[in-house]
Amino acid sequence: MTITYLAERGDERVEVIVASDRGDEAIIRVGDNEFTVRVDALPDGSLAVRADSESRRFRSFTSHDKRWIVEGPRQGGFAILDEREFWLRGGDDADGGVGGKIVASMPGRVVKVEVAVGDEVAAGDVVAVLEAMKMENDVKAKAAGRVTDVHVSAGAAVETGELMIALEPLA
Amino acid sequence: MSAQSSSLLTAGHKVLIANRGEIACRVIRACREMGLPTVAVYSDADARSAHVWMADEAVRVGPPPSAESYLLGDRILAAAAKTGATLIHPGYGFLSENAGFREACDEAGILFAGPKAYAMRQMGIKTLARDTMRAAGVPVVPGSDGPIAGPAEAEAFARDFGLPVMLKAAAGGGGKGMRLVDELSEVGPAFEAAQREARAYFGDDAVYIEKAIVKPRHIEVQVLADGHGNTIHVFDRECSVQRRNQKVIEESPAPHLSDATRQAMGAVAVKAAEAVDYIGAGTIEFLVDANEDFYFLEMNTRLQVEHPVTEMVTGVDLVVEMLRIAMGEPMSVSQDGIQQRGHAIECRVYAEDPSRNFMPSPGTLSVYRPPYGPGIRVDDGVVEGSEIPRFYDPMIAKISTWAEDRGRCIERMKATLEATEIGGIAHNVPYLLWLLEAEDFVAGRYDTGIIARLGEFTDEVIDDDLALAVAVLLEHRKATAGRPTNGAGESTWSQASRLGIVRG
Repeated sequence: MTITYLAERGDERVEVIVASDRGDEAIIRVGDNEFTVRVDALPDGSLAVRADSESRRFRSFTSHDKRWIVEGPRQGGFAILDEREFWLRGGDDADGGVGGKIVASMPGRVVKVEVAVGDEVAAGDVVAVLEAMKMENDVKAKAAGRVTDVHVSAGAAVETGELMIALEPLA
Repeated sequence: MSAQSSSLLTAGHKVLIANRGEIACRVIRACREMGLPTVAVYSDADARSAHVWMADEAVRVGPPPSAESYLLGDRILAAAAKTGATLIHPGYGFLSENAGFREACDEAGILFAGPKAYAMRQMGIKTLARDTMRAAGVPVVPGSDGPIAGPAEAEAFARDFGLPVMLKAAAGGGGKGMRLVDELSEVGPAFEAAQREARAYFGDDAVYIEKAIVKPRHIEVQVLADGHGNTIHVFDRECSVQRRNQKVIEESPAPHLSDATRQAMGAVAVKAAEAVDYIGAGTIEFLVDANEDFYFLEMNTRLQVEHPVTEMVTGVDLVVEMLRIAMGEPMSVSQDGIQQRGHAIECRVYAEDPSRNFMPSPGTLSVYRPPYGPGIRVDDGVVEGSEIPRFYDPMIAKISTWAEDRGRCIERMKATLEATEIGGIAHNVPYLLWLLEAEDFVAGRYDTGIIARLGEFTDEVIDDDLALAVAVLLEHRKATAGRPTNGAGESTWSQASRLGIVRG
């Protein structure tokens, strides 16, 4: 039995197939790349990974709906769903498609909101200013759009991922 | 704590550390060595932080914002009274350069590891410091005589004085409330921004203007003074690797600085400290131009973040000396007995995201395995699983290396950072590694503009196919745990036996 997973790697969606997993060794296909992988948990919680001629050491944890791999000082997170679950959740439409949600990228305090409902913004426009750790940071629109909703005001505290401003695509 | 290490000097003393994070831990370690009992203070955001459980006692001083906790001198003094602390070490930041707090300590009869209020005021108000230094014969950067009244006045001054200029918070330090301006139209807005930052960070919005030295190096000299007539310098640190006026990498000795200039800067630094009757550890910051002409920039009347590199090349424990001096003892070192040996570099590891304009990245440090080995020093105040609160400076740790010469020190630093396991929050270690590879840095020929000239850094993330394959495999195993494994369908017992876990 093989199980297909859909993984988000940066902006791309990748199909990853677990072709077999015998516990000691697994065969995994990422696109055209096939790996025979062996993962051993070391006593300190790290993972010794061997795949064909490669030998690496990872640490891993899950956070914010992502599976993270840490290798020395570098890390990467992947959102992983099995294919069935992905479609059960509504497939591509579940993302909201337009990319029109501007969310807080860190916890902090809203210093000011630069837009109001009805305003048109261009990609890269500063829509709000967020402060954390004594540093002010601009919140920018990723895409052009018209503001349909402003969920925060100056002084408000926001958490990572919290919806701040909603946009609709320009006609 | 061994009984032997308690001497007559430390008998009866108890040290309260009015700080948090790595510097609180650093001071606590020094106290341990000296046999001094310690008291930590903490805000609600730090209730589970390392400095709290490292100290012998800990007292809550308020809610998370520093203005309601670590910056409240009355609360700190109340904590000292409650625990019977006899001496306060302020670390850096917070109350460390607050003359009013220093006086309150004096009135409460509590010793303070730092200079008298007089020296703090003379040096703390940057405009006053410039005047004092000028009078003492210390070279200063030309600029406005005092604070500038408003944005219009700032623009007028800059027009007459000539650009580029540097706007600086009079009460500032650490790069906060500072703006480099090279367009006249930018002077007004930059002035207001500097004022806002100065008010938020120092509670004082006075801003003054200095001539901006072109391509300066930022080299500072460590001084120690004990109030027994001994004022010495503990050599120099090169701190030119700065991002937005925040130091990122520091080293000692400063590369390619002539010995004559080094000695001259040391002598001037001692003169500067003596001019304000300095006591304790302090740092005289200089701007050094291409001709090795140097100008007094400011004095930090406290322990400096980057003090480890000085300790690594000289062997002097600055914190121990500060504590000795605060207890009224002469320092245990002399000018003739100190020399720089080998080379040391410090990298500041920050919880900020280099791929998103260095946005602060508070959160859970899910993976943290600091490096260790010969010639490696780690100053930290976190453990794996620690929360990096959003209320304070985003520093996670300082990683320093020492080697016989600069080249080997850089190689050791690179190997050390590569061996540092850290994740869960965005951080700047890949960025530090990138800086260490920069041609100008490797050559040791750089100024404070080095980072700006380097161009775009592309964050190095783990996103290769094998890492993704392992991530999916781990998710797959989590999802199928308890169920028969795919393919073979064998039981966990037979699996264990095959894997050699069950033996004999």
